[in-house]
Amino acid sequence: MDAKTQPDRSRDLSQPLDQLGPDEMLKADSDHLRGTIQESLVEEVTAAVAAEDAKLMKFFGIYQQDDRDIRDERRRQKLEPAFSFMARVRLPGGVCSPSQWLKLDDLGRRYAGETLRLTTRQTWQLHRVSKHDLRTVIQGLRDVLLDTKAACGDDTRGVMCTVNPNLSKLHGQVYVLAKQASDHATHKTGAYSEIWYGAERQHKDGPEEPFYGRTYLPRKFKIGFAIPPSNDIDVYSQDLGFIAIARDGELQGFNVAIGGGLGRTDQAPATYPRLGSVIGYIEADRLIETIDAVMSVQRDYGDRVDRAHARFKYTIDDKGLDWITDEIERRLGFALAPAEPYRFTSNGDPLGWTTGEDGREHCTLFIENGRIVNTPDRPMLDGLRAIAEVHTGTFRITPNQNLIISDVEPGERPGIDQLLAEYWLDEFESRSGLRLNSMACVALPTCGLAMAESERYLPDLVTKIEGLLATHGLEDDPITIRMTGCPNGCARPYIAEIGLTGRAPGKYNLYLGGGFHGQRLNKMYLENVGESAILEALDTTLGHYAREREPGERFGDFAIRAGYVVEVTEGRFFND
Amino acid sequence: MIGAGTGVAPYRAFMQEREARGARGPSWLFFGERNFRSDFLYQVEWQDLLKGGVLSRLDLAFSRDAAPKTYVQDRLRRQGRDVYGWLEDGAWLYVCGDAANMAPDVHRALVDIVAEHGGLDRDGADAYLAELKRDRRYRLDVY
Repeated sequence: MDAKTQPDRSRDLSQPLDQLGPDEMLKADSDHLRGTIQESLVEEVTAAVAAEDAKLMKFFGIYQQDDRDIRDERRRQKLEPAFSFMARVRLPGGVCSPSQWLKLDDLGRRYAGETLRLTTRQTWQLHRVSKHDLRTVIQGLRDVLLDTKAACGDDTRGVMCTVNPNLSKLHGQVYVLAKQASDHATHKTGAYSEIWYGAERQHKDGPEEPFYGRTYLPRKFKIGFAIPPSNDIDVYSQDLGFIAIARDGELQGFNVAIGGGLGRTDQAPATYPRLGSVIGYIEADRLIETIDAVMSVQRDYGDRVDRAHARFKYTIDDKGLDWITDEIERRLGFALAPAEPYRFTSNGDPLGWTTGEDGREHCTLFIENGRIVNTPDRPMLDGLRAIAEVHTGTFRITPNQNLIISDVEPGERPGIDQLLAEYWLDEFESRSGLRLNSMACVALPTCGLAMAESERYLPDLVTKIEGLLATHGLEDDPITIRMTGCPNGCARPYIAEIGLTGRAPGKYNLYLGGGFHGQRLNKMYLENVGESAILEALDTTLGHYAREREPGERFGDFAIRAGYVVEVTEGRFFND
Repeated sequence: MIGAGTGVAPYRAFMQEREARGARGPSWLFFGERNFRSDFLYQVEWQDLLKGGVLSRLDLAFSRDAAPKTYVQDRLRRQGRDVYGWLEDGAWLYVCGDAANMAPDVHRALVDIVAEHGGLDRDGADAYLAELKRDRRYRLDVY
């Protein structure tokens, strides 16, 4: 589309509300997300909230879920589903203090099934919280200066930031901006403190949501900051990604990538994952205005009729990347500079101890699928609490659902090491390259979207694939494998070298050919198949890879060269 | 309708009959059990009856979910003003379930409610309830 042509505005905010999707009316009529949440929370006849309130509560980081394992049993008992809530914390960049960790530990033990879950967007999720405990949990978070604002909903989600502990100074500079970006872009409605803290309604002079208005965004909007050479945050999966450009270890500015997003719907060819497009470079002090410009283009032009077509990636592909870039620049009042050169090498986490340039030490622990729980042979929850009680630095939750005990003064390391050994948390060296690069979403039994197992199944499947890797001598080769229980992509499966997405119980689509550091989408190789077909296909392709790979060649690159799948050059060709 | 545990069973039949007859008068259930999650007997049916207007009000007491323990008689007392109002409007009162504790506790609560909201002394409240019993408007099926 030419920059001078007016784009099609028949599906965006310019239309009357009754011409748009039902969620737009719901948001507009919700009195800035208040709805009837207060009434729903005290309704005693059900453990659920009203359907409209369940949608609004997502804007406060809370999802209503139910235990799907016992749905049928309860239906026979004439009981409603076992409803509970998932609360997701807003934790920009995944950085937290030991006292925040201890609070989460306490809330997790008391109100959330004695477990904590680290997410693929660097935060905690508390699962199985009852309706009556939600306020207590959220007020507990407030005690340590945390909230759950906008962790879900049609707004900006948790802002990510590369955890790289080696580049201490650069991380510090970028992290501060990531936090600032999150605070800036998060919704401002007073509903949050009224509903969750019991605050009185304040009457402000100006608009309650100066940026978002009454209808917020068409869909979720994800922002992330990557610090090369690590692409741990999968910057190309973000709606708005910033790639830090440094000179002599000092932050200069960012390359701007727009339009990433991995969600899709099975058998809906108009939906597809898309990797972000790098459109230029900005100086670091232009960050906040750039966020406003990009987000406002999506706010104003995004599709508000069909939610499956509402992410920024579709707005970009519908209007054209050049038109969108021009519109962003028009709103900024200046042209973006050409993108600066940069290089990514990996999107995984190097495990174990490492020393930062400031001399402090950092230990990355492998947390399989982010699940922190005490088991008889691995009391992980207890171990991390013991560490948090003595640790003086910070913790960082990584985008691969691992945990860094960060900023350890050299003198403190022996104490940490001793606790790691005492609680069997020091096994980071003894796992296969595949397992260390594995990632799964929560799926069954709590996620309402799941069609198949994910977190509860991937570890077993990886064990079986490890058998194949041993046969072919590939145990130590890092290969990314990611599984989700549905096509929505929470564990970013479409940029894994081996991607698996659930179709039905025990059935998955198998994808191959993703880029090792997140630079290329994969392509479906097998559709709707069970474990034996998956293992057979991997045995063949991994065996072939072991025999005929070129020096340094990654499995994802090989799968394309050897012709197992064709290269996906752009998201809109993903389903071809 | 006041019932704890399996004492709720006859009220299910009441509701089914009232629904079938298209009965228009209001109805109110006090139900008690141990845990909301596992013991809310016929939960889905009560929710539907409420939604459909067949049941007008529902008060719940799950004794093991909160401290201090709350029983049906506690919920009854909390709604004392409305309970007395319904009785004055001609409501029929049913109590079903445990005979050893629940029924006497409910009776004591009713005496207090009638005394407080009817401006009666204890003897007056006893007489009020005795008259209800005589008129077959206060009926017990306890065991």
